[in-house]
Amino acid sequence: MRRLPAARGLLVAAVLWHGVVPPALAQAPPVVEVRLLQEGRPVDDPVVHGLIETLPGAPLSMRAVRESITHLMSLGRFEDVRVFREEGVGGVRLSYDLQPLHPVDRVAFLGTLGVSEGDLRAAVVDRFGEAPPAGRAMEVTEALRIFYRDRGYVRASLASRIEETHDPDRATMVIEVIAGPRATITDIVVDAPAGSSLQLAGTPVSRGRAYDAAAIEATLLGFEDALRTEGYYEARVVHTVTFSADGSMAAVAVFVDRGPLVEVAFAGDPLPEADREVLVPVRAEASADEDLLEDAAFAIEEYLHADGYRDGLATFTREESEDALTITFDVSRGPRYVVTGVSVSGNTAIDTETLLGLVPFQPGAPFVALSLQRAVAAAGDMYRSEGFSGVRVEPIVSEADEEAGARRVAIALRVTEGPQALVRAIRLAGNQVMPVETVRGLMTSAPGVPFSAPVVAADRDRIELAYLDAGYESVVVASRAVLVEDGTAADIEIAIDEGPQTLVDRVIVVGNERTATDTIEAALLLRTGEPFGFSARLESQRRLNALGLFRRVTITALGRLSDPQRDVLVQVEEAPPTTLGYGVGLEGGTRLRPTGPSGQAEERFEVAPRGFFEIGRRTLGGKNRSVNLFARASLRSRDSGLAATPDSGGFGFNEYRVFGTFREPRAFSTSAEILVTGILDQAIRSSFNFVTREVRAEIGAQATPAVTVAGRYSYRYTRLFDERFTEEEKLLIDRLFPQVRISKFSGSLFRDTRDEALDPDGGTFLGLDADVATRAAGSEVGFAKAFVQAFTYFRLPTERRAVLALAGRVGVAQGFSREVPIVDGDGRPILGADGRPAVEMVEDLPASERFFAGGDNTVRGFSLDRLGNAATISPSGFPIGGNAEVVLNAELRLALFGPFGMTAFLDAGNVFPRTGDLDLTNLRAAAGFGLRYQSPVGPIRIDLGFNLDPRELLPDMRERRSVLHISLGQAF
Amino acid sequence: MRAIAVLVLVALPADAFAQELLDRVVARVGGTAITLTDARAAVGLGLVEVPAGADPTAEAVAQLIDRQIVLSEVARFPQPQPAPERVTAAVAAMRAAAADDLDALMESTGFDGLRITQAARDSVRIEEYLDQRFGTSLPVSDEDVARYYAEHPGEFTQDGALLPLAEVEAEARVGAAAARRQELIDDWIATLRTRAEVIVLEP
Repeated sequence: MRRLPAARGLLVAAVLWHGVVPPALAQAPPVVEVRLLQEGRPVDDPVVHGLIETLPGAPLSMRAVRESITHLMSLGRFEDVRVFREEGVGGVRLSYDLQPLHPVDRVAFLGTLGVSEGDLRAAVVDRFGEAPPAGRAMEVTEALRIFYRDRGYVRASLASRIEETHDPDRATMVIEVIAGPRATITDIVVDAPAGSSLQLAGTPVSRGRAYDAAAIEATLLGFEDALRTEGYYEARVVHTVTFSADGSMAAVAVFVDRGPLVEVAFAGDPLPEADREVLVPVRAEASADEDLLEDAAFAIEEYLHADGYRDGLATFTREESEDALTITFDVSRGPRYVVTGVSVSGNTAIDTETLLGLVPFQPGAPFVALSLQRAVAAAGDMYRSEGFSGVRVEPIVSEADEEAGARRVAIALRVTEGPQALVRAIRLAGNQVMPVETVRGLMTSAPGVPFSAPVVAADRDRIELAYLDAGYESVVVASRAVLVEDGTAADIEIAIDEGPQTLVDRVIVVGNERTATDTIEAALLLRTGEPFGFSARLESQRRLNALGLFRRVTITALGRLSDPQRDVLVQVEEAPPTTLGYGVGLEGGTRLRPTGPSGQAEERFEVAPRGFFEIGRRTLGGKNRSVNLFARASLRSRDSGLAATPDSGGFGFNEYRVFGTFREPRAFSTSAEILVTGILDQAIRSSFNFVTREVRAEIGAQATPAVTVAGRYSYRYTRLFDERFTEEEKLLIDRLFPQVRISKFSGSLFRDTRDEALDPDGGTFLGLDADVATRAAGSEVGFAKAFVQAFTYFRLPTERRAVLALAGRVGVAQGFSREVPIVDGDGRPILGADGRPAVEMVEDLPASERFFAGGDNTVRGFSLDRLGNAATISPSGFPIGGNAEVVLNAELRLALFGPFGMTAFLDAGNVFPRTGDLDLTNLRAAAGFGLRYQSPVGPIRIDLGFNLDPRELLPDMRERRSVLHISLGQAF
Repeated sequence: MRAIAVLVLVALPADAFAQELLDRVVARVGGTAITLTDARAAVGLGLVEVPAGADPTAEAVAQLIDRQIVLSEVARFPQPQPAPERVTAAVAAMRAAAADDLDALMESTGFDGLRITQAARDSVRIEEYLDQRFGTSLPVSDEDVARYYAEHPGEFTQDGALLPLAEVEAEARVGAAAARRQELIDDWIATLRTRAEVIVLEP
């Protein structure tokens, strides 16, 4: 064996050396030409040329030659790189001979296969993947040999070879097969206990059938399952095979070990029937082995302890007869203990309330010893983090009298705090490159503050991370604390063993065909000459993934023999540039229709088919830019009976939305994202339908991981049609501007700390939107509008998932006054009494900007937009909308079983005609419940909301008591 | 034009068109390439031992592969940095191994002072790791000592006469322990090698 390493006892090989050293380069002739050849052809790839360090005009340097080879090998595309020199006029000519790797991209099967090629391929792919490495050809062959044997081809002959192909450089793994004869089952011997019903006729275990191990095992597994269903939980049905010498015949022996008939019984105190199967999963696991039974006994005890039976015991016995096994679990619950109260004594540094907060027992709760142990440990940790290293927290459980069959216990925590240790000194050793102040700045521990071992450990981790980020890959940081002065002071020692720094040599980007390299480099935090930092690598990976341009990104530092520098290889696999999406579905909900006796509004539950189509193109111009076109349409009937649309009422694509988006994240090399959107929208609302055409430009940025700010400008044209209310019911602005042009500036601020967007368990969402539209900016009407929303979520401490979700939304708006001349039917101004054109003062918001509420996302006891009062609902029952709204929600979300859950909710809110009318005492309430199904695309929601105070807004037409909503996603 | 070309060809020395191999890849271990100049430098600096009569390049490549495999394993576990004085001593040993050829060696292989120091540091790290993992002296039985004595008579022969075991037992025990340790290290490296992706290129 070669000796490793040989820094000592070196065998000086100078003699040998002289034989292999190339001619001296002392003169270092200049390089006059550099050629790159791949299999004899010139290479024109700029990435490859960019990695060459032996530049024409520079003296020939072997270091540069080595570096060039290293960079080229870092690409992972070459098997070998050979560098030749030859004398040229005025210097030397260098030639890089690049020998490409030929990765296997195909497996071919040739010869007489005997079995289907698909089966063979599946056998290879299952174990080796679609493209097994060339070096594993022998393993592939051996695996297939076993595959053939299992199919009865005992004498199959297999051989493999690698065939290289060029341009592109690939290889095919060729497997040559001569399957030979397949064995036929000629003899079957069954060894089964009497009474076993093993019907083999017609199965793969039949005489005359070709031997197929997989099919036979599947058949026997079926018999095994049948036996287990009968209670023979330990049943085994297996087979062996013996082939004839020529491989043409197979003798199969089937062995049935039925095992005992297992019966599980319970004795002693009762266990709920429903819990027995879970606690003793003999049937589910189809096993009665000793380990499983011991686990089951332990699970029963845990179950009892968790319910206050702290002395609960479970044992089991096995009684075996000739063909049966009876397992009896003897359950002894003992008395149940309930907590009467918890007290704390001996504490001065930490207040009693804080310590009691750690003990999860309320009076009357079952006493659980494990929970008490955890509370004691938590209290100790809390003290130690405050410098009380010698603290002792003792739990004292005192039994009181028995009441209602339960023993009452009082819990006392007796605290012996001991002295508090403050940090006296911090000593650093070994930090050469990082100044003391920098290291100290990383530490939370400081002289004079309480000593805490966990804090010191965290300090150590931070220091180590700082070194790793600075490229000190092999840094070792050790911390030690010594208590002195009778435990009232602690000296902390941090010993740093820095090791060498690793720097980035070249950053090599490969795999990008459509994406510009500078787009990728801009996302990287690793740069030539800078440290190979740990966090920089993770953050670079995250940023590249966040671009959304790649299916896969890997960042690898390529080691070099005895060299502290690393080439960093960034390999990307680009996602398809074009994305397509489409889908169809059904939408159900309650809508207002003018189907009352005099065209009044009536609520009807309607179902409408809807579909969407989406096409996107990313990596525009090699940059992280994308365009997207989305179209959605609903097949929905328009209102019947409307004067304006006498022939309507049939189904049509009356609701649709088309929008095209241009998106550029990290615009202008900043963290800002630019979004330009064109929208064409037609929608059916409760009181009117509208068509909108809008162009919007938006710039947004993530201020912090949780905070997003955005500013936008939009230019929108809206035309109302199919208005359900009469001319008299219309607001003046709707009469004057049935179509309106709005030019507005908006700003948004969001703070989102939810743990999940679709169905959060915790966190909050705060949002503020503000809009200003002015005539000076090209708007026909002016207004200012603000909308604030806040959602918060709490996971409740229950066994099943339970989340309390709260929401509050407030919107206010104010129209800017404007005088509008009154015109007659021909558009001529009407003169007033003074002979001048009569004018009207308009200060409402146009309908498309007003607030509406009611429906599946707001107050669920009301149909869509139907929330309001006499001032915001027209006499015919259609909502007019208002300049202010308030919506409050409280919802309890409970998991039931599997993907199903349920909710109970309480909603309140109202719409007010003017901001000044906003009145929190004048809210309308609804309550209800719902079901949830967690689908792969988010929760599917069915809510039934009840209006708690139905009113008669129209004579003889009282609001509906209940409204059903079906939709996707949570209400908020 | 053709005449000028012919003139230039005639004027060039006879070996002007001979291509000389400067460097190439001789093996790959995982993502690390081992080059011909790595092998030459390893021989010249005494990083590898070349038995008499063996092909120095082939021997160096084989040992550098093992070295790289071991280094990868060493890097998996944090351990104290080598003492500077040990690294300095290892550098001195390497310089001594190259002796007067050091400058030419560095120039012809592209090794510089930083790389030599790094190589020395790696050697020390490996030694320390092996000491930590396999100990410095393994206990051996009397049978092992006797076997070692019997299999290595040359080590215990003085003036042409084989010294009795009783007289050289201490030396034989040290030798047997070292051999046992080396055997364990060899087995360990062989196991590591089965897990590593090693490709040795044809010369």
